[in-house]
Amino acid sequence: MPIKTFRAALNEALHQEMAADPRVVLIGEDVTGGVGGDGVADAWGGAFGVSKGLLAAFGPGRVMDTPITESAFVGAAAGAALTGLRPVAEIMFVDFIGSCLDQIMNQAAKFRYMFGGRARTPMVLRATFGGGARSASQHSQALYPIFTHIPGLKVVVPSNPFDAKGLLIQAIRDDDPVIFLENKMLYDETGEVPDRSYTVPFGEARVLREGKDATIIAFGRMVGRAEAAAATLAAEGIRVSVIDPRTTSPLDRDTILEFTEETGRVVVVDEANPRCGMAADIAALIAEEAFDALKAPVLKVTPPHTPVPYAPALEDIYLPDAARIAAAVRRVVKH
Amino acid sequence: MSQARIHLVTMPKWGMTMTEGRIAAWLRSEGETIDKGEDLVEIETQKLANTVEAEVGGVLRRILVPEGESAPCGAPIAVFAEAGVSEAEIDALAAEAAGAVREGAGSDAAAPRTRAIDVGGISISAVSAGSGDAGLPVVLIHGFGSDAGVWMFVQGTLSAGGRAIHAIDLPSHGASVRTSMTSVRAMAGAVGSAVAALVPEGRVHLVGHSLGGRIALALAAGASPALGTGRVASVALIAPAGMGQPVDPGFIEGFLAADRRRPMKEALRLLVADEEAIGPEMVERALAAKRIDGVAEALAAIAAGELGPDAAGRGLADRAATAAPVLTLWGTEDRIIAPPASGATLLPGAGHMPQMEVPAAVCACLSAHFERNE
Repeated sequence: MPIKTFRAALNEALHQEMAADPRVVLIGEDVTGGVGGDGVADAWGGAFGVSKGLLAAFGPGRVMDTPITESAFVGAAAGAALTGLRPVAEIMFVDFIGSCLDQIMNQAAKFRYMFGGRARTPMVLRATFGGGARSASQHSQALYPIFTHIPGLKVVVPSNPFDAKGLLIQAIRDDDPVIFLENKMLYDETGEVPDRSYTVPFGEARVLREGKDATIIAFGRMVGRAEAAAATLAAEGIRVSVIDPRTTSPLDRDTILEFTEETGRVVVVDEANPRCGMAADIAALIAEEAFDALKAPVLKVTPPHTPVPYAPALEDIYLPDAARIAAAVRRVVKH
Repeated sequence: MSQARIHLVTMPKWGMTMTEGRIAAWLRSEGETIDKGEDLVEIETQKLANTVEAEVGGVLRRILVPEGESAPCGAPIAVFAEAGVSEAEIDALAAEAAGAVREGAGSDAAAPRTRAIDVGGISISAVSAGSGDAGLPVVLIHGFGSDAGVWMFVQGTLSAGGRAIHAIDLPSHGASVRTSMTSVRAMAGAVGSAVAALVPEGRVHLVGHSLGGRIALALAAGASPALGTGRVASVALIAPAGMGQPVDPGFIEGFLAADRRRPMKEALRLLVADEEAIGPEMVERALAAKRIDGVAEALAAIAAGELGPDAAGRGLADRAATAAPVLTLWGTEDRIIAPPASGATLLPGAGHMPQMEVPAAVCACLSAHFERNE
């Protein structure tokens, strides 16, 4: 199977869905390539290179650059979705969501419910997230818990190139608003990605490995770190299961509870802040639904409840790493 | 040092993307005498874990890579040697092997190559291994719902002596582009053209698993004008469909209906004798293949047309029309297509996937069969 980067997998998904369905359009800041100076089209393929080649393939009528106005183009995308297009809007950094949250939270997320099911809002909102790029507190957050909290939104956090392509195609074909969050540190990660179009369904966790001693549940970039921890632990004789829910809304409760029942020990790794985040949410789910299966407290491995620091040394210790994850697993196993 | 006195055990390469493996456990100790085919070592990759059987019998003199450590594919991990080989000789060999690992040797030497073959507008993907310097080439044809990866534990071993081993993806499977091609006759036509492209002249051995067995027989009986009939040196069938034994309809229904992890795992468990062998990666791969646009519909059409009770004997005419020698292998624990009362070499401890479950036994049978027929 061909090996592609996370970035190339996303780019291929956009190319294939735009080719397959004329209703799919792209809108956002610098999505035509931008930043190349006068007369240079598609120099970068967007700030992170994900939309490269789309302008040439589909023209300015379907790949639209906007001014720096999140409130305007996200609102435009929601309206276009209501009236029959399938827009993919791009927020360069999810941290900028504050200036268009009303369009997402009070408009797109509510149309279907408040119009009695007679409206559909098939829009995708792509955005980068996550720490590690030395981009400071306003460009590094992991805000998926905010969207997960809002009914009416679907929230996707891919961890690898294969899932990135399949989940983005699923998102474009979905009739509800989807928040699609790309950890910017994963863009150069490589993996097997089929050339043809395929989907990965929402609400189905991926099981990376099965082990009886404990379960690690991790999201996005933390999945790779959980795998690294699992490999270290395996060398010590501790066999863990690693679960990547892939979407936070809908959440694959069945798989989380199944592995909780099987192992009785759970560590949740979340790049979001610890209060009201996915780690807290999953710990509560397990406490409610699988309390009798637990042999140890559910441990959360998250950043501290602070902004993402700019100092490189601080940013590095802020993010959960394999050593912290492995230490948490050893604690629950010894409990 | 003669080759016969010393045998190096190397890190296997299972599939295109494996670059290194980790020794999960040595099942035997230094100094023990081990028979060919006995379990030797458990190896883990990022994706799967498997037990490696001894390729030769003899004394395990030295373990080069201890438990918990990793080595690149192709790197020596242990030494078998006769009693007459001195410790100093083995020390020297171990040092040489360690040097080779440091320089990255071995990692790419045996790396399989993938190519796409255009046969009349249809793209057939093939994974090829082996230099082609020795013996007639072999084409491996997988079964329903599978892909060329099903040969990952045997392709390397079969090609180790220099024989070219090509594993193709059937239409609508693996990386072969989807077509509306869902009958055995049509698929055999496309596969025959691909075989003719892979092996432009001379004779070729065909190996078919399950539905792939029917396609191999159809080719041997002359279904492909591109290949003709005289070029098939031999046919090996592994648990073939269409030889009179019905395919379990429960498996087909379960496999086609499975759209989530749990039901797919339940379906795949029927394929093997040891149900623990179905790891999460296999389940994920099976689901991923079905989620490619159009594949689920194509698989349903293949199942309806070629795997129902009415098709149970549909390969017998091709079998009768095949002039080339035919070897038939079958797992004793096969729950998908039960082994026949006679006419097959039975492989104990294997279900419907002997090439995954008892690869050393399958390689031994196939290698002997190839050598007898060239």
